[in-house]
Formats: sequence, structure tokens, C-alpha cells
Amino acid sequence: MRRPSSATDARVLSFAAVGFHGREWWPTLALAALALTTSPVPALAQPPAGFADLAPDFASSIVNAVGTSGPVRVAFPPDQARVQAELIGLLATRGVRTTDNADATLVNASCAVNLRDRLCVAEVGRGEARRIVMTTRPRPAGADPDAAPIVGLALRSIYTQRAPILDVAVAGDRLVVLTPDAVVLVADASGANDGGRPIASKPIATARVWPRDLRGRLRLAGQNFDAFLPGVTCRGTINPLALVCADDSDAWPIGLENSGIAPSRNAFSTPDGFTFYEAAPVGAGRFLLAGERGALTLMDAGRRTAVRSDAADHVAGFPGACVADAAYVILGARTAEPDNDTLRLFRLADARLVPTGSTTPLPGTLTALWSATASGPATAVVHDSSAGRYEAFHLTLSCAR
Amino acid sequence: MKRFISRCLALASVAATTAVVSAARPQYGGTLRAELDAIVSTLDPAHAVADAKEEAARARIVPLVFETLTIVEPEGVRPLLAMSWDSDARGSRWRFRLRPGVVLHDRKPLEAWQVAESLRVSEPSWKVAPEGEMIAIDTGEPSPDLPWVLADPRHGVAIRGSGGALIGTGPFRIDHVDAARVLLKAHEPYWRARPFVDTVQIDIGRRLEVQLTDLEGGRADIVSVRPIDSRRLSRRGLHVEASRPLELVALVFEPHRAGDTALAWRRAIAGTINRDAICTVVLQGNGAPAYSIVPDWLSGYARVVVPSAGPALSAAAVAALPVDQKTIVLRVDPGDAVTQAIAERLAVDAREAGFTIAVQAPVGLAPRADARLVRVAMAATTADRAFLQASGRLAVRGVAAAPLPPGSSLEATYHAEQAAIDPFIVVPVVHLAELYGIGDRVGASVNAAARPTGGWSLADLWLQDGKP
Repeated sequence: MRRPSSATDARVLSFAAVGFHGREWWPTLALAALALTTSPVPALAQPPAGFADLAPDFASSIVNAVGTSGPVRVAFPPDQARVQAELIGLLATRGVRTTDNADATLVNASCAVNLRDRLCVAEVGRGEARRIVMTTRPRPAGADPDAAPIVGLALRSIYTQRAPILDVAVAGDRLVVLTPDAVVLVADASGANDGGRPIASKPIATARVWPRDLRGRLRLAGQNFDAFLPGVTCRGTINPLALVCADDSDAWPIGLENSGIAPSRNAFSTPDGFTFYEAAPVGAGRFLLAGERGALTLMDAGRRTAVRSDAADHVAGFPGACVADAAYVILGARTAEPDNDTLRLFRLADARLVPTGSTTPLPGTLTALWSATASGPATAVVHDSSAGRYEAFHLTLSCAR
Repeated sequence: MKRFISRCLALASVAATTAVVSAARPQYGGTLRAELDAIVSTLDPAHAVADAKEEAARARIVPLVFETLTIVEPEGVRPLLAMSWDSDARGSRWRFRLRPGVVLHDRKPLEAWQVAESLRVSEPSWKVAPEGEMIAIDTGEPSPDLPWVLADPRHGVAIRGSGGALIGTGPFRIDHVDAARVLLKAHEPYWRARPFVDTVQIDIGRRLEVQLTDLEGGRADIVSVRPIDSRRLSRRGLHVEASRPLELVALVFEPHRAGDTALAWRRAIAGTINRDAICTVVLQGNGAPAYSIVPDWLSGYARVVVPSAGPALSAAAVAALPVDQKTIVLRVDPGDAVTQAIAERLAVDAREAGFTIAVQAPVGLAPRADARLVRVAMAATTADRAFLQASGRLAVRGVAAAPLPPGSSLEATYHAEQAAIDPFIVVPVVHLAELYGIGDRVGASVNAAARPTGGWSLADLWLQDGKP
């Protein structure tokens, strides 16, 4: 969907109830849709879990630095949740307890790749007691074409309804669905809506008038969740379902620093005022931003580089998926066929998007695309106007060699 | 009405899609017009030049003509004219297997003895000998990073023909060189396929301001761009391409301000620097805040390079300083508008903390400066080599180079770099990339004109008005 300017009068989402036409061929096909392709860019052979092979030595070095007498607080960049989890597990087996308590010794760590090495480095402690712990491994010396991963985009339909869907999140065997009017709890989410049925709903109580291109985002933390809407933030619990909303423009959980979406707008902005619609984490603290008129911008440590690419209104990233130091992104774009958007998979190489050849048609207009979080899937919402329904998909990358 | 709007949106989408899918197939032919600001005195890769500007210009042209055994790509060091290599355990005896089927610009096959002869010229201290299809190199001392060393353009394989003519194996051959222009022609039997364009015309000695107007006026296709000009080009719809960050802008205090007794004073001045504002406002988003000498993509550890903690001067202490300590004369290159703009911003930030920075851009003799704002370029290579290169260039300006043996570990490099910035004599400010403005005639290609690791990649560029 070409995202309209907030100032325009074009209505893009219709919130009117539409008829339900039942499940058609598409979701079944989508379940099996796995467009496999070989990345044309030689990729390096890497351990399947990214920096996981460095984690044991890294953990030992940290234990040597902090000892086992007190707990530590381990912090990694948001896109390195997988190696963080691996490290925390290894620290536990070595007798080091981890905690979120701010009083604990801070282990501020990150993993990276330079031209010659792969490394994990941590600052342990602060001030005079600050120490640096580093573990390195050489990068593979030569490109091995056989090691190039086969990367495909897999879609899984998880929920369908007639009313607009802004975002969905899986909470155990339940699904939390954010709509413009309410937060809905759906049972048996794994049943992909065959067995899925709404079991509870709480209205979003606000006097605000939603913008025309309404967007919303969910964030789950155990039994609690937050719902973010333009100018409104709701906090709730799943069991029992409860919801309290307030006029509040908190930052949205999109990985990148932002000030939320203003009440009558549809775009985010960075602290220095750069406007964007979607942000895809692409590893090493970098983000690919979809901005005005479909322009893509790579943001790296505050520096922005225009990305030479076809225009795209939607972008989502899978940092660290498949290959440790390669970033894959999907772009959502409209095709010549009305009401049939496509998702295209790219590999990010510097400030360039290298197409992998994997293109997946969608059964309608893409209305929302949210990047993968940690090891979780990305989420797409599609409006099939002919069938009169909104459908949420989980998107994952399948990796093979 | 709603349906009408929907149809309009649909039509707009179709139009957008049409625009997307209407990209033309690359065309062969035409003359690509490039410009450089430096005068290039020689294209002989083995010939060392002292001038940093000329060295940078040569680093763009030479690899187009003379290829090296290895090349540094974003994925690390990769084979180029060599297909593979191995070494003894000490890393002092190496053997490189030459790629078969490589054709010189005179259309004769490249042979191992020619490569050996070329390397003996570029590095006389090595013992280099052909061994069948192999080239054996004995460096004497352990040289564990020799494949990285050989990726340096100065080790480009240049065959010295009769009359002093130089021929190589690159995508372009030298056609004509004079004081103002270098003409390169496509190498038809190039082993990685003939370039799209027939000719590359490189006008040299063109000031950056002139290059900018030439690009805007359609008189050039690829020019060097200063960060402070990128927004202007973007507004005109021209494309700017960037390498990864390859240059450090640093504040360097002069020896008379570099003593231990002035540490708190230097720390206070360094604390006034607003790097984010410099990157966003002055450099128009084309710089990265720098706290380390080596950019993070070359080291991986930059985020833990932190200036030493310690006392800085309080506002009251600054106010009580004698005038000569509250005033800092900051020298910048009078021909460099970028460092001048950064220096002016440093002055603004320092003023708020009670210091006065007087920016000095002398064209002749000038009073002694307290500090300089310098630009130090680094090659895309290993962290230790990049650090040694940068610290060596800083040493030219009166800062002791950190001791670090070649081939040092990453941890040793980190400690050396941390030690280098701890005294606040060198204060990293921003990292800059090489920026290039690309003209309208250049079609979208698979590979960018700006190599991520620095320099040009012109073989993939094609011109929209080229003749098929």
C-alpha cells in the first residue's frame, strides 16, 4: 500500500464491517509457500547460531573477570538477543547468576564482524573497575559458494477476521489481536483460526479520532502487554484480559529510538526529525527505513545513506537470520495487479539491496508489516477486499545449505 | 467518491509499478566522464607519492588498470589475480597460485614470471620467484597478513613494456595521460568481462566546487562530493554514493598543549564536542560520531574504546583560567571546507563551556596553533594495519605512534588504540566515508560506483545514452 500523507484526504483503510467468505485456497497455499532461492551474493560459512561458537569462550572470559560471587546484568544490542540468551545460559552453567537488577555488575556486550575477525567484546563493570573482555575467531578466508545459504520466505496464516487488524502477538496458546476499537483475546491461536475464536475483548477507551492510515503495535512481556496507537498507549494483562488506555505518546517498540506516532499522523520520526514509516533492523545497530515516497534509507550510527532501490512502502528485517553477518529484509510493494501486493526478499550488502529472487504474492493489500523481534517472526497484515477480510501472517526465513 | 479515489490510488500504484519495472537493460558504449581534484603525476602503482591527495586520486585510478593478487571486499580478503595461497607456519614463505586465463592489455597471457618481476619492483625487500603457475614470496620476517598487504594498490601487477609503457590486466587500459586528463579504454578480453563503457575520461586537478557544478550541469558523470554538498545534490535529484567510513577527523593537540599537567584541560575541551550535531547539521547526515581512531566496521570493538575517566575542569575552573588557556587557536587546512565547517561548530560548542576557539586557516605564516583539526585516511584492511596507518599519519603531526607489531591480535590492537586516545592528545570527532555524486546519464547497475571498501568500481557502470 502506498502510504498516504497524513494531510491527504484519501481514505485507505475502510473500517466498515465486511462479509466473511470463509477460508479460501490462499491461506492453505500460504502455509506451504516457501520460495527458495540461492542468494546471488557469496555468503560466508558461519555457524548456524551466528556467534554461538564464540559464546563458550566468551562466557569463560566473563566469569574470569567477574567471578561467581555476585549476580551480573547482561546487556546486548536489541538485535543480538540470540547470542545474549546463549551467553546467559552458559554463565548459569558456570555458576554466574544473571539478573535485571540495576545494582548487579553490568556486562555490556556485543558481537561484531570486522574484515578479518568475528568477535564478541564486553565491558565489565564501570569506572575504575571497568575491564574489557574479548573473544575472537578468524573469519573464513575464502568464499565458499557451496556454503551460500538457500534462503526462503515462509508465510503462515495465523488469524483472519472481518474487522481491521493492526497487529497480532502470540501469548502461549492464545493470540492477542489489536484492532482500531479493541484488544481481542483469541483462543487456540495455533489452530490458525480454524479453532481460533475470540474469547474476550476489551475496548480501547479514548476520545481520540484515529488518523486515516491507522497503525498500531503490540508488545508482550509475559502476561502483560502494551498496545501502542497514535497518541494513545494502553497497558493490559492477558489473564484476565484487562486494558487501561491513556492519551500518551510513548516511544513504540520498533527497535529504533522514536517518539511514537503523533495523534493525527501515520509516521515516526527519529530524534533528529527524520520521518519514516517503517524500520527494519538489519544488524549491528543499523536500520533500513522506509520513508516518504517509498524512499529507503540505511541508518547506521546516526548516519543516513540513501539506498538505491525500487520504492517500497513496507520494510521488515530479520537480523542475524540464516547467516550471522548478513541481513535479509523484505520489501512490500504494490504490483500492476490491483489488490495483490507482493513481498520481495533482499539481502542487504552495504547500502545496497541485492534481490534474492524470492517474490511472494499476497492475497490483497499489505496494510501492516512489523519486523521480527529477537528470534520471533515478522508480522504482516493483508486486507483482501474481494473476500472482505483482514488476515495476519507470520513471516520467517527458512535457511538451508 | 470513495471508489473514484480507490481507482486513482490503483492507477497511481500502476504508474509507480510501471516506473519501477521500466528500468532499461544496461547498454554498452559511451564515454564515462569522471573528475578528481588532485594532480596525478604517475600511474605506476609501485611509485610512492608523498601527497595524500594524489595518493587518494591514484587509489581510484590505479586499480582500474592494474590488478592485485588479492582484493579486500566487505567480506574480507578475497582472491583476484591469485586463486589461492598458503604459507609456512611462520608466515614468512608464501605461495600464491596464479589465476589462469588472465590476459594483459597487450592481449598476451599473464605469466607468473611477470607477476614476480612486478612484485620485486613494488617491494624490493622480498624474494619473489615464479614456480610454475605459482609465485613464491619470502618476506624474511613473519608476515601473517601478507594477503592483506598484497591487496594494496601499490602491489598492482604492472608489466613494464618497451618505452616505459605500463600494462596491466584490469578492466581498463591506459590510452592517454597528460597533465589534465587520463583516458582509459575498455579492455576487451578482460577476464571478468568487458566493461559496459568504451572509455573512461578522468579530468584531474578539478577543484571540488568545480566538480559539483560540472555534475549539476551534466558535464561529468561521477565526481567527488563533500559531505557538506550532499544535500544540494539530493535536492537536485542526483544520487550520492558512499563507501564505508574510511577517514577520521580528529582534534590533535600540539606538543606544547600535550603535557600531563594539561590533561584535565584537554578533557574539558574534548567534553564540549557535540558529535551528533556535527554529523547531522554540518555533515548533513554523512558522518558518523567517532570516539575511536579506527571505525567500528574495521575493528568491531569501537564501542568499548572509551576515553579515560578522570577529572575535567568545572565551569568555575574554566572561568578562572587565564586568558591564554581559555583561548584555543585551532588550525585547519585552508583548502578544506569540511574541516573548516567542523571547526566552526567546535567553536560554538566550546563557547558554551567558557572556552574560545579561534579557527585559523592560514595561507602563509601564522601564529602558533594550540591544536589542529586533521583528516586521516585509512585503507580498508585489518584493524591493526588500519590503526598503524592512522597513528603513523598522526605521528607526522607530532603525536607518537603507538608501538604495535604487524599482525597483532585484535585485543592488542584495542589496547594500543585505547592507550593512544587516553591522554586526550588525539580526540576522534567523526568518521567520514568517500562520497561520490553520480550523474543522470549513469544507469542503475548491480554494483555501485563507490566500492564499499573505497575507490571506484566503474566496470559495471553503463550510460543511458551509450550505443548498443
